[in-house]
This record gives sequence, C-alpha cells and structure tokens, in this order.
Amino acid sequence: MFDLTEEIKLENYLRKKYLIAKFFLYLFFLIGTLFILNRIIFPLISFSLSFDNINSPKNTLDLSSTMSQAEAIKKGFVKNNEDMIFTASPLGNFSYSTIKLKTSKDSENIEGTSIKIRRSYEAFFYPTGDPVGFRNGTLLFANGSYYIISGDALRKFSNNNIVEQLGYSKDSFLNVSLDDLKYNKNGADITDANIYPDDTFFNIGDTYYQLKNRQLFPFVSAGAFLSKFESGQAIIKNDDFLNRYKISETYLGFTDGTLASLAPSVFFLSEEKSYPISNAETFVKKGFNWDDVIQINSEELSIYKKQKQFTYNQPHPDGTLFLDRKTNTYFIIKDKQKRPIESLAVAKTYSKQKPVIVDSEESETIVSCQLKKVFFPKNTYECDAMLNSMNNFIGIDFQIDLKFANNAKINNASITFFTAKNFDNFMAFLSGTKTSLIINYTK
Amino acid sequence: MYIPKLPVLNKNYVLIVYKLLHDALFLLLMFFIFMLIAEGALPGVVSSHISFILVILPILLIFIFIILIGKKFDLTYTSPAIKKNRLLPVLILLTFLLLGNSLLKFAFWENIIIVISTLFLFLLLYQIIFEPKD
Repeated sequence: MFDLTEEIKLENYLRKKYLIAKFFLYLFFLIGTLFILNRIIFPLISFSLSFDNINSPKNTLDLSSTMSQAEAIKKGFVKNNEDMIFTASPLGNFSYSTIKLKTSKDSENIEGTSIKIRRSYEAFFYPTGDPVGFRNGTLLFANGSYYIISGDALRKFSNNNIVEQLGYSKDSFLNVSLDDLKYNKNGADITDANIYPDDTFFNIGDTYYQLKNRQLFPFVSAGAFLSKFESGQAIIKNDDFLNRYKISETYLGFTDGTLASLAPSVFFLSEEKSYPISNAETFVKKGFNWDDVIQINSEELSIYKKQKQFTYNQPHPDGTLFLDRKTNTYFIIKDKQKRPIESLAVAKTYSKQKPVIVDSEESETIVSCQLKKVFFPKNTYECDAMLNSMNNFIGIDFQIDLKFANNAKINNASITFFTAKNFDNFMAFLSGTKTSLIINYTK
Repeated sequence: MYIPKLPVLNKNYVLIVYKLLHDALFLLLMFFIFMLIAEGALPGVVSSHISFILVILPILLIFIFIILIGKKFDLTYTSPAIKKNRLLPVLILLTFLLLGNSLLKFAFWENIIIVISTLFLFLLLYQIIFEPKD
C-alpha cells in the first residue's frame, strides 16, 4: 500500500496499528462511495410538507393547484370524506412510493384513508372547462354567410357585398359548418360598409396590424402575425390608412405557446409573458420538442414581460396547447382549466401552434393504497403504492389524492419515491445518463 | 483559579492520526475530483444526492488539523518545485478539460484562449506564492 507520508517513520508495532487503521479508513470510504453510487443509480426522492409552517421554503411537497382547496386544509385540518391533493414532480422511474402522514396527538385516527396516485402533467389534471371557440380575427364562411370573430363574439356580415366593400378577400374565409359556430357567443351583425369590425387585420407596408377599440395594434414582426394567421387574412392597405386610426404603442406578439430561442436561452411565450426555460432537461421533461423552437430577435422578445425561470416542477403556463393522443382532442390551458377544442374546424385554426402530447387514458390510471398506523413514531400513518405500471406514462407530475376516513389535524405529510434495485432500472439509469449527455452537449 | 490539565498527547499516536489524516485527505480529494468531473458532464448528477459542502467542509477541517499537528510537532516539508511535480501534467489536463467543459457555450477558439490564459495565470500565481524567492 502506498504511503503518502513516507518521511514520517513509525516503529514496527505502531506501523501495524497504522496499517490496520488505514485499512478501515479505506473500507469506510469504499462503503461510503458505494452508498452514494447506489443513491445516484437507484435514487430515492423525498418530498415533505409541514402544515405548521406552510410557507416555509423547506417544504418540497406542494398542495396541488389543480383544484381549489379550502383554507382549513392549508392549516392541516381535514374533515371526513374530504380530499387533500398534493403534487410532486420527481424525475425518474420509480418502483414504489411511501406516503407518510403525521397527525397531532389529539387528532382522530385516520387509518383507512384512501390514497389515489395518478401521473401526467400537472396542468392536464386541471378540471375541464368550456370548449374553446375560434380566435379573434378569424374569418369564417358557413351556409352561404360570412362571419368574423370580433371582440370574442361571432359577428355576421349582414350581406355579402359588405365583405367586398370592406376589402376582405373571400378566399381567406374558412369554410365551416353552422355547428362549428356554436362555440362563440353571437354578436351584432355588421351592417356598415365604412366601419371595420374590431379584430380585423391589416397589412400596411411591411407591418401587420390588428384593429381594437378604434386603435391599430402593430405586430412586432411579420413572423409574429404569421404564427397565428395566414397572410391572406389581413386586408392590404396603403400608408394613408394609418391616418384613420390611432396607432397603439403596444405590440402584438407570437401565438400563445410559442417556443422561442434567443441565444443562449429558450423561452415559452404566452399572453404577453415570456418564461425562460431553466435548462434542457426541463424543456424535454415538459414535453416540448426542439424542432418547434423558432429563432427570434431581442426586439421581438422585448415586448414580453419576463417571468421567473420555468422549472420542471411548475405547471405548464396559460396558453399551453395539449394534444390527447388517445382521443385526438386538443386542450388549451386557461385560468387553471383545460378547455377542450371540440370542433375540428376550430382545431384547424390552432394548427400553427405546437401541442404538448398527453394521454388521457394514462392520466386516469390510478394506483391506490390505504393508510395504516405504524408502531413508531407515534401518530404516524403510512402506505406503499406500487408505481411500476406508470413508468412509461407521459408526464412527470404525480397527483396524490387523499380522501380522509375521519376528521383530523395533519402536522406533516411526506412522500418518498423509491427506485427498485434491478437490472432494468440500472439500464434505465445508463439510458437516462446517455440522453442527458446528448442534451447537454448537443443542444 | 483551577485550570484543568490537558491530557498530554502521545506523540506516536498523534503521528498515526497525522498519517491517517493525509490518507483521508487524499481519498476526499479524489472523491471531490470525481464529483467535479461528473458534475461538469452532467450537472446535478451528484449534487442532487450529496451536497458539495459535505465534501468541502471535511477537506478544510482535515487541512486545519494537518497544519495544527504539523506545527505542534514541527513536521515540515520542502514543497517540491512545480516543474518537478509528477502530478502536474495530470492536473493541467484535468483543469484544461473542466474549464473547457464549463465554457462550452463559447465559440471553440474563444474557449481555448480563455482556458489557456486561465491556466497560465494559475501557474504564475502558484510560482509567485510557492516557489523559493531565490
């Protein structure tokens, strides 16, 4: 064995003692290293929440934002048959999880509380809202009549001549059925050939504009307009037309859900906000596609209000478009709801926006277990839920829904995700490492 | 006032501790280097399981103990000249790769120039601090 301190000579009996101690030191390090390697290859990820200090930054388990939960729940008070929902976003494939709850000493027994776990994206767990209609500015033709979506309402051109007199190109009207029109509320008919309805698009010089409240809102670039609509939907006008309306200083941007790159960052653009995506892993884990990223310049980005970094444990922002691969239905995230696009014609108008793929069947798959009281520590309940069947599901968020068997006061909740030590998971670790290396060195 | 007498340290056993501290320092430094390489290639792969401070703190504590024991028992070494250190090429290569890896977002030539300049400054600093004045 090599000696790092050869200069210090020890007597024989001391040298023997030193060598024995050195052997144990190396053995200790070897065991420690193997323990850490084991944790890296077969990770164990824990999340916890203390109800006594709900706002503590040490809390890693979140009360779900998918459903509104009563204020009392945030303090740990639950009633019989009441739901408490958590969300956790561990990265990896897990064989099982242990859910642990600690109640206050005077709380009722919560043994038998049922726990249901589902896996998908957190935003896809939002309750389903009303179906989405056509977007403002969309030009439609149905049953011989022309329409425009203006101010969120469906407005009919009272006769076909007005369409021509106002300068709309009849080719740019989308042919739809009357049934497709039911998703937008009805507005007043357009009867005046001299007044353009709100949300009409104009192309003046190199700039596209949208009319709103007697003001022309310029698009920040032609690319921004074309990310939403076809160029034919804008009425071509000359510069004199700009004198008819006030020009707004607010610029319009790209279609919601656009993934834009301005080196070295990638941003999710939606509703005048830009979300810098924290890293390549977040980008991939949130289901985004590198091919959907477009290059933008700093002027285009500057119209957006920059938000805090978008990390993998945050739900997808408003404006995200999901495509359910099971039912082929699109959903748009808006105000903590997922709003379906039920009409094919409406879906077609969103075809320029790149969706995040989800699977409704997988998101409805439930793994369950029931809480049992443990001998030690006191007032603690736990249960194990097998997660093997969810390993290949789309989405990284686990929704943990507890339905309480009794009134109770919860002090602490925790969930630990375990990776089984088997060959498959070892290979999954190697495969994940390879993927991460590729992402790290090629993107 | 009564001042309790501190136990007299047996020099032989302290020397064993001193030698073991060097071994522990070597093992921790090796672990730290592997941690740096792994983190450089895959950020978070180790630090999400074990904090850097849990490795750096023991390294610093061992350094302090080695210095204290060395002073107490007057154990001094003449540090080898940097040019004669056999570890030097390995350390330079390792530093070169780690620095280069952390600057991947830079253009290739920018990266090379920054890394070489940094290494040169490190060597110069080492010589100024550790090389004999004459």
